Amino acid sequence: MTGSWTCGHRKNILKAIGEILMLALCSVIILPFYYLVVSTLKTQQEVALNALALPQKIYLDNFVNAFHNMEFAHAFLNTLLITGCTLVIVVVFGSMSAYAINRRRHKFYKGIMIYFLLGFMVPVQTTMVPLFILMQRLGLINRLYGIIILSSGSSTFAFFLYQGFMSTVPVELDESAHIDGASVFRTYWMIIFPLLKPITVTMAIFHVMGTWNDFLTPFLFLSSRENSTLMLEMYRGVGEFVNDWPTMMSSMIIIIAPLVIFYIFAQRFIIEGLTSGAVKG
Amino acid sequence: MKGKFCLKVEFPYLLFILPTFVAYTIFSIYPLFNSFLYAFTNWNGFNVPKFVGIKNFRTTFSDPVMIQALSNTIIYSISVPILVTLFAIPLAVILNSGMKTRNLQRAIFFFPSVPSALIMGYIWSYMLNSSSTGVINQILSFFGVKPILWLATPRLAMLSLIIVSVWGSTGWHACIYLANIQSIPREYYEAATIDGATGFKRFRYITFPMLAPSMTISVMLLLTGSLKVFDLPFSLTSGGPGYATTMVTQIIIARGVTEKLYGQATAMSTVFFFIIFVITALQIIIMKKREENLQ
Amino acid sequence: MMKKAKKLFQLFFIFMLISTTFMFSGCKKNSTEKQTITLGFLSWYNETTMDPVLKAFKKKNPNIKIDLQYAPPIQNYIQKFQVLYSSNSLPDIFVTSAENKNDVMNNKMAKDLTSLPNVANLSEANKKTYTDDNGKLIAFAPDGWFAGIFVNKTLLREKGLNVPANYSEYIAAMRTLKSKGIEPWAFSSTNLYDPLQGYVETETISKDADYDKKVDSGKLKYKDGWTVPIQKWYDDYVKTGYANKADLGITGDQAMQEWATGKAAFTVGATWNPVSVAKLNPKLDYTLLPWFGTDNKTTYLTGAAGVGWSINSKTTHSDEAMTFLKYLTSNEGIQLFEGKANGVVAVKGIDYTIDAHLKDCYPYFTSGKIYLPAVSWKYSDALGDILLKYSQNIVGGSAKPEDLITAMDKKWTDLEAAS
Repeated sequence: MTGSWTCGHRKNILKAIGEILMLALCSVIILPFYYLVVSTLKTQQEVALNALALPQKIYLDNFVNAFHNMEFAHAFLNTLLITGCTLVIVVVFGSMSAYAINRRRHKFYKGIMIYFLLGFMVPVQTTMVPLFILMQRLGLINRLYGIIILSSGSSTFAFFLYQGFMSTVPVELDESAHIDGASVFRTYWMIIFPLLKPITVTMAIFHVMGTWNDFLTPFLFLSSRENSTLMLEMYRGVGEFVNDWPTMMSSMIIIIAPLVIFYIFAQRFIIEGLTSGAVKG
Repeated sequence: MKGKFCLKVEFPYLLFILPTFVAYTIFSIYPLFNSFLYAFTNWNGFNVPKFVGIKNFRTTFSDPVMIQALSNTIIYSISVPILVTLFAIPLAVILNSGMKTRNLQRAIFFFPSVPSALIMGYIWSYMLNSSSTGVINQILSFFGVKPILWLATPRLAMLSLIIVSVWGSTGWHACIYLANIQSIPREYYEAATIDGATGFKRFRYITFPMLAPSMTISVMLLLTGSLKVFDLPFSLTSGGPGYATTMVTQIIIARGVTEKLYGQATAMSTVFFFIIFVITALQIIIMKKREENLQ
Repeated sequence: MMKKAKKLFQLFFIFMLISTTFMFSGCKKNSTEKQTITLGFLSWYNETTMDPVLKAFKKKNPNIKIDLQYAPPIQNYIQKFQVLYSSNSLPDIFVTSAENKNDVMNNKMAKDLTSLPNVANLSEANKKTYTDDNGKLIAFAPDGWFAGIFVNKTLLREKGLNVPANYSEYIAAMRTLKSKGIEPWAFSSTNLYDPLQGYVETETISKDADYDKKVDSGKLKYKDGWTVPIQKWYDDYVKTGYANKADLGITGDQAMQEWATGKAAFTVGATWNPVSVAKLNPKLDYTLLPWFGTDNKTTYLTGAAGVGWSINSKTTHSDEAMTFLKYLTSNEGIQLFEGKANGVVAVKGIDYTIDAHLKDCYPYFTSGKIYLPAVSWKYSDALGDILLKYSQNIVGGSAKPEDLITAMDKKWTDLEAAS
């Protein structure tokens, strides 16, 4: 019995060391961000003199300029709308196709999966012009809903993420639901999907991060200022000869800030989902 | 289970696939097919395209810059997936443990993948400044290391690119593995502990095999992402010095947009597409088999 | 848990519904205003820069609405431009730059602007750059830029040197600085070839202004005009180590920082730099020098016309487009624009003062003694890329000076054959 006390004590020390090591590693990882934030709070002169030092006096002009140049409120709402709607679409489309392909064993479904894979092979620059012409013909240029509809085509990423984990939900649940007379639709949405919460939240994190920071798609397909997104606003600092880096870096921080909040919120959601949904009968 | 295809039974499942299928075909496959047609023409973005047969395909392989870009892309596409996977899996295991600062750690490791490549390329090129005032060189000088010409020589530039890429992607992929780990039923671990298995044995016989599905996805994304990479080399080194970090997509853009040889650019994309397809298909077949064996 | 998820979904759908109704209601408002003509404008400059001139125009012409579409320069703009043209949706007004002017000319995309009143006051260089082979002016560029050598006068004074006035003094000054432990030059990986260009200007172009035209018509090769300059560049900058491997890892901003904080005496300087230099080191005593020719007499500057505005030849509102351009290119319009854009004005009669540090070289600009390959070459993008990459390889030691010229001539031949 006395042995277990020393064992526990050693374990705690090891744990503490491990935690300190991880935090040290974290500070290495975070270094570029530290540099990013610190540079935006200094004058250009200060940055040139000593890159890593903390600012002598907090210099807020860069942020003021960034806010002034960006139409933050409007772009924020547009970005939020696009991100939210596209998220719902890709999660619904992607998870549903993943379910079907996972549950059915016929070769046909494997073929569909290979078909879905093709889209990943091509760099986006190759299909820019034909895609633009297509969007034009469909009347989807310079419309927020155009971008939203376009995103449905990329639900194959969600498909891939979901199909990998679909097997973690046992087929027995499907079968018992069928025996109880539930349709495929009901079975999926009432029983299977809720159990995929960790995947859905992970997918949400990936999708939100990706769409929030996307430049190319809004750049190609949106043209009016009123349809601008946050990334488009940041790119307004790009000049012909020199880029306005201090303003752009400040804009980047402003753009990332909501994502930090979202990420923390999403992480809590996973934990909640795990503790309540983990009791699988 | 590979029996007949009974439409009545399959119908609801087909409906499940339908939305993705339709949207994907319209917005991804149709433009792709369209652009392939251009590969057989001499289109330069402005003229009326004329059919030129396979001339564009022949020029693809005779261009020495293209050959270099291909070798660069291959080196990059082998290094990055291996390194990221090597780091991401242990990272996911650590992040799943009961450390107090766990959530903070998760956020910190994930965030390198968030900012745009434009900004990150700028920041890193600043930090990797070859002179003694560069941030990284300054830190190294504390350890008595002389300034390293990070982005200045071909080998170091490629190394820097790979390091920045791994820095940016590891946390993201660790999230995929993390999601997988969190769905491994606790009973497996409890049973193993009862049988007297240590931490490492638990990892090797339970965790690692159960990670097979996420490995397939993660490696596929890393592979295709690395082969198609454009933003980071462009913003970090502009493909330099010389052509040392120039990637295939950059050549495609250069031929297509800058030199207006759009027909040639799409021919290159087509060839490249098949290369990626073959590599990825092999990867998925191998890993899916592994998945099935381990289930 | 399920109820919570359901509630969330419901909230999301309601949110979508409300937002989409707002979007559509916004659309409806615009369609009732049928009397105003809307001109599409693909702009190289962002809304903040264009705002004053657009506002003033709106006051004078309330029935013409300008729908501005911004595409960040340079590559993104060219990409958007190409996509819009390929899909037949190029706006009424667009910007023409050195990068796309050949396409604009060859495909007759722009209207002739020679009738605009201020064309008479436009500098020769700006006129020539955007005039096609038939004498049509396809774009009106109100400003331009020039670049040469920035010299830190204080640093030179400290080491007992005068500001060099010719080639010999310049070479001697660099040698002296090096012997006293000062880095003569702050180069970045992207401007290593600027002195090379300088030599092309002083050794070749100054003797034959039509050199590039002769190359593009096949009469001469790059070997003819570039062999001497590249050897000079190699001897004066690379062999001496002023341009060295370490520079390959430095960006333009960093090089400017190094020079502005006094770590080097010379750097490549241009008309857009004084603003940044003022932020880095407001008290710096510096000036712009031209590229010195080896005969100790000839001097030249790198430079070109800026980007210009063009009218789409397929526009359905040519009168309104002309009205807009008339205002943009009027004295008032240019003044409002340059107030934000900070270019070097190339139109006579505008109230404009050049930055004190650039004053000495301003006459080169006004008299047209400026040169830029991108403006004079037929295949400027492809060859410019070779110039950049090979200059990096030569400094890095993996290529010889002759290789650059061979590569340029080969590329030219290949592109000729493909077109």
